[in-house]
Amino acid sequence: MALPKSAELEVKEKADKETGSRIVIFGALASVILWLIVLAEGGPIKPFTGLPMSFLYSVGITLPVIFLSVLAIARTGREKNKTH
Amino acid sequence: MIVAIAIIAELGAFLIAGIVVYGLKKRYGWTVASFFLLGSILWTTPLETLGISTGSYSYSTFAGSLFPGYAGYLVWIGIVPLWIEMGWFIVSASSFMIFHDVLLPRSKTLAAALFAGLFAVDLDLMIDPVASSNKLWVWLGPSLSILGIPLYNYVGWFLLIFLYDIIIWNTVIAFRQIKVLSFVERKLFSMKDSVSSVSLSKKLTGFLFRMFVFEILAIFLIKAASVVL
Repeated sequence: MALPKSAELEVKEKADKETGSRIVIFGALASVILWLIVLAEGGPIKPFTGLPMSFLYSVGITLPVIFLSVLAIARTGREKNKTH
Repeated sequence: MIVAIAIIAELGAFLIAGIVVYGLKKRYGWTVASFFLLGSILWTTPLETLGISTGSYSYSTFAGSLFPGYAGYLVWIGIVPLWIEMGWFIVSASSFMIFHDVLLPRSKTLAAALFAGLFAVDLDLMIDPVASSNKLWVWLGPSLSILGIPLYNYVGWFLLIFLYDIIIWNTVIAFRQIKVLSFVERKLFSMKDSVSSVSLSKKLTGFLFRMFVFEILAIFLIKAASVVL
């Protein structure tokens, strides 16, 4: 059944907001980590052979934060779908 | 070969900043995305300029290495490479969204801003050792350091992201009063006690005023940290 125009717009806006959050959190931060590994490999720090400890600590904190965030967005999306 | 790293770093930062702008636009719309991006440049330029001109660090390792007159990077705002400011923007926008929108949406502004500041410090623990070992920037002068990175640098990251987060949340996302500034703002801009919806020009004035006040506070605190540490 087709949704009324305003409800359709509302659903689209909510989807856009979730997509926006996912793009920034997963897209940008994953890109930052990959970009840093490329830079580090090209220079004196070799991530897979001589990674500085601070890098490891930082990745160890950052990756769980990224995945928790993406999981939280996915959960919110599922809950919204249930209510529609 | 080594100058290739500088070019990859610069273009990579622009590319990732583009992803962040697109995400911000989808989440909040063009107005907020534009405030966030242009505000980041205004917010970081004075402090970066001060750091370079007082000899704390330098961005000119690659000067002259690509072609005569090449300043070390392609795009500059005064004496600061634009990609450095895009780095601040990427970190501040990502931290902002993670804590205000996703992980702590029901928490107080200060708590979300505090976590955003700490998360930014965590990200810099990855960024700074890689960048400085590749000579993308070089730390000058003696200071208490971790892996060659001065401790006051991390104080700076925390303060800049923490304060900018508070400004964006209370000014750009919705116009809310900041208690410590409310008396002055009521007098200067004839603002009422409760302000949730204001005109774009008033929002812009408030944004610039708040950035100015907090920038002075940040410069003072970071300078104090650099003297103590």
